[in-house]
Amino acid sequence: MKTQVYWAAREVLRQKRRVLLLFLVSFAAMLTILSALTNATAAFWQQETFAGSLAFSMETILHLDYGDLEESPSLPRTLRRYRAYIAGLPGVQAVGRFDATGMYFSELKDRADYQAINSRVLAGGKYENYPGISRLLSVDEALLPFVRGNLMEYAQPASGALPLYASEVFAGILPLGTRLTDERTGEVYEVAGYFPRGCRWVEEDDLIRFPMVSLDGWFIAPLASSGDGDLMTQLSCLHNTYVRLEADADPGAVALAIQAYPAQHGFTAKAVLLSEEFRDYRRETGAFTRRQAALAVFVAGMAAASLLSVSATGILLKRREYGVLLACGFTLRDLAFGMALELLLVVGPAALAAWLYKLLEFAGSDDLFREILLAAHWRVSLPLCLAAALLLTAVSAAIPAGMILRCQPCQLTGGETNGVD
Amino acid sequence: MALIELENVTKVYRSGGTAYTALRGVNLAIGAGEFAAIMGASGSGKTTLLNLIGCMDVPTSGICQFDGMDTGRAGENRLAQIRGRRIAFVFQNFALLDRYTVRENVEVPLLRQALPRAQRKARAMAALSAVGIAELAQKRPGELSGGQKQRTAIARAIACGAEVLLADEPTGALDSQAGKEIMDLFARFHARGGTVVLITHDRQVAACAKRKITIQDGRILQDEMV
Repeated sequence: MKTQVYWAAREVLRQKRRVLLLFLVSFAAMLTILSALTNATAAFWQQETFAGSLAFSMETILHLDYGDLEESPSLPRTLRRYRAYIAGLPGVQAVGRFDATGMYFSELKDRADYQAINSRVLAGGKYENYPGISRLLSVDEALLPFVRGNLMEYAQPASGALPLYASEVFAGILPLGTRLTDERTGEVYEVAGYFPRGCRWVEEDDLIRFPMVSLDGWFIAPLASSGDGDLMTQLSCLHNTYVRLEADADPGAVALAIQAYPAQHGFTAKAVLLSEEFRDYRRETGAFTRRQAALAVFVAGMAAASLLSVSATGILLKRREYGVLLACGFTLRDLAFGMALELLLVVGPAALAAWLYKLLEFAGSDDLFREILLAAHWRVSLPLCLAAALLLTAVSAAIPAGMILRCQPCQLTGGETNGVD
Repeated sequence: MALIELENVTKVYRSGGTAYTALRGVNLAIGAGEFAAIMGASGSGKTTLLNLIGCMDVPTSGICQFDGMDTGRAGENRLAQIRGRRIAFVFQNFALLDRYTVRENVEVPLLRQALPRAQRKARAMAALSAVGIAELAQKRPGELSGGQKQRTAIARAIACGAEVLLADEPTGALDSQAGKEIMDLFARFHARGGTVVLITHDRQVAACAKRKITIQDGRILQDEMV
């Protein structure tokens, strides 16, 4: 074994041009295979992450899906009344909304110590160049336990200000009781607690399709009542309204009741079980995943064909060399194994280089799905990449090795030996 | 008991639907320390005979023995061990690895013997010194003359400690002076107790041997001590 590895390594080092060609073919192929695999597994990973993050069964959560709404001044009042109607329906436990925004607290935006910490947590993200900004997740109390986190309810500051929970990263510079003012709305908040590092929520409008992001460096507060009359705030929360049902409620009946109200008040809306939305999403991503997997298989097949032809040509060119090795005491099995090893010494590093290239690409991107892609790339694509390298090597080496194993040593010595002399 | 013994050996090559009989019922015994030359026209079966003797091929029928071992029944590993440790080959085309230096070429059979690197190097250099080309150790075969290449092949045989040297037209690609020098090396190998079996068309080369075997149409026509 040691001899074969030594010989294969020497052969790889002695055939730089051929090795470079094989490396490039393998690298390009593995890059495409890994992209397809990571994309496919990221979708799967996203589903798993979402399903694992919910504190409640998806069968007990309804998502409000509004149709076309006329953006009239009366819309905020209409929506408020609609939520109140839903909250009063039998079987409904609570109705809640959330909204993630970037905003400024007048007292913080120019503070050097705040900017220093904020710059670190914003690095690489879309707010990288806005160190004075604050990312606020406004969540109705009813939704606080929806996603697994640390907060279950809000404290009520005696001052009457809105309770504000800061990420633990700010604990050193924002003591409890610190009052902060929303620069745009004038709403006053008071730091009522901290939530630990590692808490997560979604930043975008779609709970299922978008990845959860780290809340390190965020603030969490209830939606201000002043926002109930603000059209922009209402529109911002429109797609993030969820209804929690009692465990024994009939989701179908509640959904019908929820749909009945808009029909009587001149707008359209329906309620869909989160589990149904999740099934639809899985169906959509299932098709995508299959296409990506098919692409990976196709490219792997093309790469195997290329490697096979290069290695088969190599056998013909090295036929006499193999004869010398046999005459010097190597076995046919040594040669076949050495040939596979030679390929593996090129394909393996090429696969790892491609994996590393994609890792750096994902790590350096500001893609919304960056963390999901990175997780999928580490946990799924890496073992698959190594397996693909082994499989490519085995497929590419099988036929040439078979050709070698069928020969008698004398058939490979060449020269004047014509086999019939 | 002879070191090499062939008993009623027949070798048939098949290609597609046709069969070609290269050896027909050959009986031959070569003792340890002999110096034998095999002669014959092209296609007479000389190389096939040498391949069978050297464990590079197995007979279609009959028994081929090396030091009492039936090579037709031995496993691949056993045959490879004999090829790597007890038998060495010298070919007309030199059979050197072009990408490796002269010293590395000499080291090849020692690699299979799993010797430590320092020991491999020392044995290779000693063998190169024995054939008078130690100063060419770092050259590549492409930089050598035909005679130097053949000396490298002989050094490889010496380095691995082979007791049998099988040579297929070893001087066929050399000028007469280089050919003579190579035959001197063979004679020295034989003088130290080694067994030499060589194939040649050249009567002068054959004259160096103590035994002359003539083969024709796959049969031994003449086997005489000189």
